Amino acid sequence: MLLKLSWKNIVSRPLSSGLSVLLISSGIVIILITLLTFYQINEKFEKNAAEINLVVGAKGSRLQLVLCNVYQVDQPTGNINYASTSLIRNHPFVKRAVPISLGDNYKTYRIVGTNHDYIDSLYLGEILEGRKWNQPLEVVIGSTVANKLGLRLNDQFVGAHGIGESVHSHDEFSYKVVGVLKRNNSVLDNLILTSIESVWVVHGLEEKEKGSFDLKSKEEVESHDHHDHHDHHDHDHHDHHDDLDPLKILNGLDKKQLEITSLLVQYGSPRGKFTVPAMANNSDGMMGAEPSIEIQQLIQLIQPAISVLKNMSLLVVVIAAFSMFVAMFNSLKDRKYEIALMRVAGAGKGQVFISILFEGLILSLIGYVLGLLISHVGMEIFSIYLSESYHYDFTGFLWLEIEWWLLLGAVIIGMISALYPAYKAYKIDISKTLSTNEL
Amino acid sequence: MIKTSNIAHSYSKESELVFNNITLNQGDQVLVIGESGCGKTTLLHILSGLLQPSKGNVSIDNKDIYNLPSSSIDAFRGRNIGIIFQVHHFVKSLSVEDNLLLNQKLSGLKKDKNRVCNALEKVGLMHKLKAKVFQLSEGEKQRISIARALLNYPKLILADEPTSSLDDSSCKKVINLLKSTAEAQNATLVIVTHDQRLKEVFSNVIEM
Repeated sequence: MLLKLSWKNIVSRPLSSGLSVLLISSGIVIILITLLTFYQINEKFEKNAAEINLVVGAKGSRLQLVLCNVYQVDQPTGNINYASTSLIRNHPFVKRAVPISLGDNYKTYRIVGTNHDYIDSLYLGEILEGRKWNQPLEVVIGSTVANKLGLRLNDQFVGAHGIGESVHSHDEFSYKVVGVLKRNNSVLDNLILTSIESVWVVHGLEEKEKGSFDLKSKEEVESHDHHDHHDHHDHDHHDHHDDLDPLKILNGLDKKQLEITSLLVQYGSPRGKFTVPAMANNSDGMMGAEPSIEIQQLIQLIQPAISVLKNMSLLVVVIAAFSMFVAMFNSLKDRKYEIALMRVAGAGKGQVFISILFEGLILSLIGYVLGLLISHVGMEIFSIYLSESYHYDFTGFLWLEIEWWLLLGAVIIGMISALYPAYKAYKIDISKTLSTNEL
Repeated sequence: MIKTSNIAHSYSKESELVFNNITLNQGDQVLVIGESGCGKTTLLHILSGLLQPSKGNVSIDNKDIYNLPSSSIDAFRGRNIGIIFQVHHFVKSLSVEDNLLLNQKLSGLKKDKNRVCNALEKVGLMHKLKAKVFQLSEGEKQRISIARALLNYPKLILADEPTSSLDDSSCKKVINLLKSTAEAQNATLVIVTHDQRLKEVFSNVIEM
């Protein structure tokens, strides 16, 4: 009955109660969306780089090199000569060196040329259907790619140049899906994987045709494509190649000139850390970047923003607590007769105290639940956008342990806000209150 | 049943209200009459355990109520005393039914809807069971106050100026209701008022 009374009292002043609930839920939303986002970013950072000690690629930004080649979210820094990485690949402290070659996409999903170690050893992927590639132009697709693009085994598609949206297709070659990966919440889910030779074949032909190939952003590709478009007309592009056998093209390429985007290195010995990066950095046109260091620096870079958000949410929560306090304190003035009546009816001071505390508790719990719903549903909606824009899978349906602490925090805030109003109700002078003839 | 001895109360150092000793037996009906400001409401609050007198003792059923702990006084009042105040306050956010049920619950009794209905039937307002308090007229509020006071079959019914704003006809109805209900429940009835019309209805009158 006391709970019902507290509830009715809350409902009877919808504006002030609504404001208190809104403020509490706003605080919860800011905290929780920040935490949900950064928890998942951290998790992905750790998971995707867990097996990679060093990324060797073209000189440029180290962070960009890591983001592009480990997390598949940025543009490549350029290409490096595959032959010139042989010293690193064969170094005794290197357990595994996996080349990757980027440059094409299919409907914005990246096509990554690599070897089987990329799946088996770096990202610990497993085949759900089919098999891994055995020859050029066979692909294995991630689970998200399969679901979003509706690709199935034996489907064929034509890749497009660039690693974003592109208008220029490699119409000469079609890829064939020979395997689908199980979902494993890593970058694998959003990639189309093929042999590195596939990329060399596709781009090797283009190189022959145009003189060179490189990796460009969407904008660069589009402007280039306009130019190419005319060239293609001039050369009657589709009818120009008499022999499109991938193996023949591959054999025709100069092995010393083959390029890759990067080499993902796994050390076989802890001593690798002290020698291999230096080897990469001292080579012409190459550099090495350690994902753990680069990500640590990135996190340090965004840490102030996280702190600002956390402090902002704390401020909102304090305002919410103050608003609840003011709302309940003001309502006490109107309800002093009700409280006196409760005492007359036999309610002890403790019962009155508890009924006011209940109000604070109910308000904060509603705020908490609303905040939770908005945060998780909002994060889920936001994750759809992230997935479509960046091919990175986030989810709103994730329970963090800290949410229990937030619940405890909400309860404490509700209690603290209601404490003084409850004390005032506890101390109310029944006789004096009921002697005044106000209605 | 009720016995006061040498009670006095002061709201300030300068003045003190001194009350004559009162002794009432179970089932007695008494009118305490006096001008405004003479301390009638103070006496009623003292008798109901709401206001501890500065001096003297109040004994109900041989219990010196102000010697009981605060929580026991609250519980005792809830179970044994029904009070009708001059101004009829209710919990505005609750319906008539819930107001009466809350009263039962707070007095430590189990919620009993039949009793609520009986009490409302006695005052002729059964049809207002589900009504919100703000939908009631002043006359209806007064009658529901009476129903609330009688709900737990109290041994002592205290009424503060129950007829002051009523016309003669309504005054008679309210007093008859209080007297007959008190008689039916064998409850002691104490009415404090300045309304001289009531003098002729009571044989036991205490002038202040």
